[in-house]
Amino acid sequence: MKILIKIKNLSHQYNSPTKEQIDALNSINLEIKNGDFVSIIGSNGSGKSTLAKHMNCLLLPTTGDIWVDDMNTKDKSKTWEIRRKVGMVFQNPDNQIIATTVEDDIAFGLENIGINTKLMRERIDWALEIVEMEEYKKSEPHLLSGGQKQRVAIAGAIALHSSYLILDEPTAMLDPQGRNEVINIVKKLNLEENITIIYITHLMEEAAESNWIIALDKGKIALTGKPEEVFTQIDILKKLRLDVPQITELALRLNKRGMNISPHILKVEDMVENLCLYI
Amino acid sequence: MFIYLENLCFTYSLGMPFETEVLKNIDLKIDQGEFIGLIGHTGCGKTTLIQHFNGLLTPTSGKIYVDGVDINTKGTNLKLIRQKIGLVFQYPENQLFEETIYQEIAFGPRKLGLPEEKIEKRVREALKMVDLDYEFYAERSPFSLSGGEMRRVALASILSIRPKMLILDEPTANLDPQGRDNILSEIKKIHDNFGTAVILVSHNMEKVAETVKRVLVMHRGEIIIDGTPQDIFEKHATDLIKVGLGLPQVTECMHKLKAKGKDVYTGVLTVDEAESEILKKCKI
Repeated sequence: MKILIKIKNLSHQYNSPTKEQIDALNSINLEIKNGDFVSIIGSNGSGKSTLAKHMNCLLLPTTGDIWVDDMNTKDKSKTWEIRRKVGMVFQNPDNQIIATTVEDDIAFGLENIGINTKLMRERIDWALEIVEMEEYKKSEPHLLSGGQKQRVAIAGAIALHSSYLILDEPTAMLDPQGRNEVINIVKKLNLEENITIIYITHLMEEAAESNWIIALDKGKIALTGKPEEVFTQIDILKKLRLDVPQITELALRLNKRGMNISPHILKVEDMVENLCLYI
Repeated sequence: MFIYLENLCFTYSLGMPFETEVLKNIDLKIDQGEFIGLIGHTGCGKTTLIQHFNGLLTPTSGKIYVDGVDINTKGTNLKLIRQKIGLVFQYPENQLFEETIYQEIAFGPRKLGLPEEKIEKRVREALKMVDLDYEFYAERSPFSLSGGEMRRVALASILSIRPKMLILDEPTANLDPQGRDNILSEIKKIHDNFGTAVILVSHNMEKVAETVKRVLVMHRGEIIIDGTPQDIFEKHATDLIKVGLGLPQVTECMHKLKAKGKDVYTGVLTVDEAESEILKKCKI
């Protein structure tokens, strides 16, 4: 598969208020391929958001390089093209939604890149349909629920036809239903629209939905692999201030007790199926 | 009884085009030293409800008694009520503003008019309660801390008022799993050691289930379920899902086994409990 975001020896330093140099990222090497759904996990301050912000030129490397579709993020003439390709959704949709109706909000990004009205209409309808918000296009954003607002923010990003979507803890402020709405849309974008997803989260159940996990610790990649591989390493994860989904922890424990239950279980349904053989 | 709500109603923009009934006929009794989880989907009225407890909002109708005092009668000393009920808002670290952590935590006691030596005692005590070392932290800037530390300092600045009840609105949002567990265990310790009543507003079902002793479920401005976590997750699972809430994964697993005709206890809340229930029921 084609490598689309390539990160080589990336380090990022910034000065703390006490003038110490802090290594937010330290020699990161990473390749993200077309169609990946990557979760980035790690403790507060481990460098997750700093890493993500390098992928669309919000931050530039102190040393090292990043290429997005063969464009180096340091090349200033490419900044806008990279930002159009790499959409970003932040934690609090209220900080991202600016217009007075849902469709105006999505039009904002399109207006900025100078798309004609007819095409704009098509893109808005397309984006709203994907996030299943078409019936709300005339609604005022502040009257929507958290999950709905976050879906509007996602629509605003994908309307620009971005090939990548970075979501920085998009469900932190949502209730369980809103969380499900957002994660389902993200999965759909990945599977049906082939948008590459970079998903930052503190919720291990959400990371379990991706096909690849990167665990950061103090600016370095501490652990990487498929969710079923990463989550069996419970001792390392706990040392990194992380956790495993409840159901995986249960599977690991039952497996240790000698039951024939795979320690790679990530979904409640799989556990139920396994247990039915015993109970 | 510490807090008593009688037929509490609250309507936003009363008499205006956007009039919205947010709280409907809420009756609630909370005793000294209880540990309560308040759950409900976004917009169900949780935050509006807790803002009534210390007089930040005044009910449209109904009454609120704190320690036997009707707090909305004329002449009530609301300052005294707010001393008794400490409210920790969402993202409390956004409220940090002082130059040093000492000053930050001293702000409340100072406003109470305490003498300096008592203030210092309160600051030391509050930092100890959130497990931060006084010597190391007191003179540092609150803005040089990590997210988890900032949140603890914010919590300490409420604790220094020595409230009888602590209300926390989503105290663990955005913290990493360990930071989340740490804050919750600090809160539990404060509850256990000082008898402080706690109301935890949260979306995290797994942690609520593990931590609290009583759960209130809100839906469209009403308290629809009130019971122990075991009781709620065992008997009201379908209602919880219907109102947009979830179950802890292990609880969901038990409910699904039960639905397949297996004889398992569905009031299981933690991995430990699930493990022992499964081992008990297994035909090995």
